[in-house]
Parts: sequence; structure tokens; C-alpha cells
Amino acid sequence: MTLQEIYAMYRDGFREMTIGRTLWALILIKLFILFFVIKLFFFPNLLERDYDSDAARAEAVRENLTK
Amino acid sequence: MNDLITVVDWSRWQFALTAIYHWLFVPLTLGLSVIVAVMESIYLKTGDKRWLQTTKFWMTLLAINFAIGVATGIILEFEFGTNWSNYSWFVGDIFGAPLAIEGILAFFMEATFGAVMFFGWGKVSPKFHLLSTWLTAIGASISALWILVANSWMQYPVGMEFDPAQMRNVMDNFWALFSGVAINKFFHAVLSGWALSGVFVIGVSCFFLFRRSNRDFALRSIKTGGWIGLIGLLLCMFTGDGSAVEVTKTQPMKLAAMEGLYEGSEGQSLVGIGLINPEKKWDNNEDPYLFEISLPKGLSLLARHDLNAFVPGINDIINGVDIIDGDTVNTVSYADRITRGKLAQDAIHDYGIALRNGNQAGVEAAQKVLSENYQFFGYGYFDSPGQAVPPVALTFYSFRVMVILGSYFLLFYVVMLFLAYKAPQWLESKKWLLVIAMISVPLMYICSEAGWCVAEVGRQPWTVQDLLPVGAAISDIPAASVITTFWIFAAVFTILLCAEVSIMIKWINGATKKDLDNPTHK
Repeated sequence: MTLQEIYAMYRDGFREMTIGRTLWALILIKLFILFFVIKLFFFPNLLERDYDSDAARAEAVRENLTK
Repeated sequence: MNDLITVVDWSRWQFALTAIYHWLFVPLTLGLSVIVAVMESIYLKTGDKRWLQTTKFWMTLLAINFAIGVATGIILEFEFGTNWSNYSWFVGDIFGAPLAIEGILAFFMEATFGAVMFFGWGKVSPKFHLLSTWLTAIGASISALWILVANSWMQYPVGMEFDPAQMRNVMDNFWALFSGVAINKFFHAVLSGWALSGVFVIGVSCFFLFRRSNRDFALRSIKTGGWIGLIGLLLCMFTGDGSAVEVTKTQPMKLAAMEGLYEGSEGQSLVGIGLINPEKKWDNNEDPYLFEISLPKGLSLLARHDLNAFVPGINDIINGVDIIDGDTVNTVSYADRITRGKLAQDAIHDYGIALRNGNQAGVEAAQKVLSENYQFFGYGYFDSPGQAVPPVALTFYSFRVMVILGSYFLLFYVVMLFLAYKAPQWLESKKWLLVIAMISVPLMYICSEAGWCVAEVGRQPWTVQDLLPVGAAISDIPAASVITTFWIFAAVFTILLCAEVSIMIKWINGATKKDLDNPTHK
């Protein structure tokens, strides 16, 4: 397949979708909620956020696991 | 302390909720993709356009399930980083590597071959299209492999060494991750997807028969889905047996909880059905069951493939007693494990101080104590052996729900296949039977979820078996935040599930008004 044919396959595939349009809308809304709402506001990676280096993260975990 | 318990409990509920919802979508993708690939293979071999119609109908349901389910598993990874940050760090690259491979593989295989499968009709050659359909199905299973390898490592942590400087487990043998536990779990989970999808196909097909629509299409689908589902279920039972043997070796406490067994014996019976006595604890003399019907020597056979083998109960394991081939083994009692776990924790603490002070002798001394006791590290968090016992009743009942429903589905497949081949008119005329087939679809989901419940509740209180209990794996976060996100997830997933069910019903309803048996139908 040439690149043009691959492009045409995706283009026509999206154009000819019937039930697929609803599904794509759902996928996009879902991904937005997951990555731009839930991940951003509610699920930070705590160790990445709170410590600057792996050594500091290791020390924090040592503290947590041995207190 | 109360806040910690609240955070742990809500985080567990949150993880359970997201995992349960995620598993509603996954097994149907795993199984239906194979069923669709087989249907398309038959179409290509026979050139019969009715098979093309059949393939396209089920492929659309696969697309709906795939679209709604995709990325629901990513939430579990969010939770690792926020709710379970100690765990995330502690497991290190062992957990991260398989998940990273899974992410990359899933993305490339699904984006490439899935797109050809859904969009490529008439755009690529029929053979390439079929190849893409098969590769999408195989890709989904390979994707599951990495997740299940990671999960198996939590059940049976091998192939790593703990580095107290990094405070994480470092992989030293990648291939050890493919342990007997992992292999059995992989095949058991994937094949359960085949079994579930077969029931799904039969249930939906019976809806067509119920509506007296597309008779030949429905019977064709029942036969294809029925055979693949039956093969999946039989192999699932075989791998389930393998899993029981592995659990006996690696997680005997889980096996004892599955049986509600406190005092083991040689020639141990297997409880077929029973009621757990809620008053029974490891340290009292209450009867474990209020009622039970048992199969003599059944558990010995299941667990050790030997009718007379000893199977340890909860108290035997706590006391450090197991007997294999007449020899007493596993002789470290839970009281000793707790002591040695605390030694390991102190050693890690001392290691950190020695490291900061540049005290090499101190580092080496701590390292020595840690090496000798690390295998019991997690027990150091407990004050009493009872804290290391999983929730017995939930594990016990989940196991029975899985096995009893699994046995029902064996009968279901045999009956439905027999009727589809030998007495299709009789099948069509019995509305009650068609209704039973439709009701069987949600029952199959319950069976599948119950299996995961056995695996995960039976592992409690551990996140990583013997090394990290949930209470230590948890992050220091406010309980209110976990409770809030629990309800957000509950709402989001419920909306997604309702969307999936309503879109599927709409599609199926619409199809009952079309002529899928007519090859000219578009």
C-alpha cells in the first residue's frame, strides 16, 4: 500500500462511518475526561511531583516504609 | 490511624471498581476478535457472502466494545502513581517494563491492524484484510500477556533483587517473569475471554431467534461462537487446574481461604457448596462452616494431584507446617516471619542512615541482615498473624460462583451446540430456552469477575505477596480525595457501560429488522 492509499483508507473509513461517529465522539470525550480532568486534577504522580531526584524519592519511600 | 484505614479501604474499593469495570470490556475483545477472525476465515475459504454479512455484524459489536473499553485500563496506572506511590516505587522496573511493552505493542498493533480490520473492506486484498483481523486478535492477546505477567509477579514475585539504595526491586532475570503462575494465568484469563464471548454470541443470536429474525445467521453464529466458546471453556478448566497447583505451591494461604480451610489434613475433602461461619477466626475454635457438602479427597486431588496428599489449612500455614511426600516443609511460622520482617525493616532503616553517613561497614552489616530476612519483609508490618489472612468468606464464595457457573456453561455450550446442529426448529420454538440463553450473558460476566475476585481478594492483604501489604503500599493522601475520585470513576464508568449497552442494543435491534441472510444486503 502506498501512503496515499493508507491515507485514503482512513479518510474513507471515517467518512463512511455510521455508528462509528458516535463511538469516536465517545472515545474523544472519554480521553478528554481521563487525561485532562482526572489525570491532571486528581491523579498526580506524587513522587514525581513532590521530589526532584530519584535519590530523594528513594529516601521518601524508605521513610514511608520504615516509619 | 483511622484516616489511614479509610484511605486504604477506599483505595482498594476504587481499584476494585476500576478493575471490575475494565474487565467488563477486555474479555469480550479477547474472545470476540477470535470469533470474528474465524468467521472471516470461513468467508474467505467458502466465498459465501452470508459469512461476510455475519462477520461484519459481529465486527461492529467488537468495534463498539473496543471503542468504549479502550483506555479504561489506564486509570489503574493513574491510581498506582497517586494512591499507591510506595508500591509504584517499590516494584520498580519489574512492573513498569511489561506495562510499557504492553502500551507500545497495543498502540501499534491496534492502530495499524485494527484500522485495516475496521476500515479496510474493499481497500486491501481479502487475504491482507483477514491477516489484519487475525493480527488484531493476536495483538489483543499479546497485550493481555504483559498485563497478566505484571499481575502474576505481584502474586509470585521472582526474577528480581531488592536494592536498598534505590529502595526498589531491580529485575535481574526477565524470563523468570514467565513463571508457571504467569503462564497459567495468561491462558486462563485469555481463554475465559473466549468462553465469555461464545456465550455473548449465543445470547445475542438467541435474541434474533426470539424475534424470529435472520434464522440462518443466528444458527451460523451459535455454531461458530459455541465451538470457540466451548474450546475456550474446556481449556480454561485445564489451566484453572494448573493455576490451583501453582497457588498451592506459591500462595497456600489463598488456597486455604478459597476453601475456608483452617485445619488441613491428608486426603483433604473439597467443599462443593457450603456456608462459611462468620464467627470463625484463625484463633478460635468455632466450626468453619455452618453447612457444607464436600467431595472426599477432592482438595488433595485438585491442589496436589494426589488423593492422599496433605493440604495445609490457615492455621497450619500460620504455624509453619506443610507436609510434602511425608516431609514437613515451610517451617517458618508467621510469628517468626513477623520477627524477621521487622529485622528486615530495621536493616533498611539502618542502611539509609549508614549510607547518608558514608559508613561503609554499617551499609554492609545492614545489607547482610536484609538479605537474610528480605523474603519476609512485608510481615514486619503486622502485629498478629491474623492480619495476614485474606477475607475468607469473599474468597470462598467467589470461587464457588466461578466454578458452579463455569460448570453450568459447560452444559450450556453442549446443549446449545447440540440443538443448533440437531434440533434447530425445537430451539427456535422454545422461548424459555432462548430467554435462558440471553440471561446467561450477564451470568457469564459474573462468572468471569468472580474469577478475578478469587485471584485478587485471595492475595490480600498483599499488594506484592509476602513483601508489601496494602497498608504499606498506600500513599499519604487525604481520604476525602480518594472518596471523591471513587465516585467520579463510578459515574464515568457507569455512563460508559450504559453507552455501550444502549449502542449495542440499538445496533442489534436494527439488525433484527434487516435481512442478514441475504448476501446482497449491505
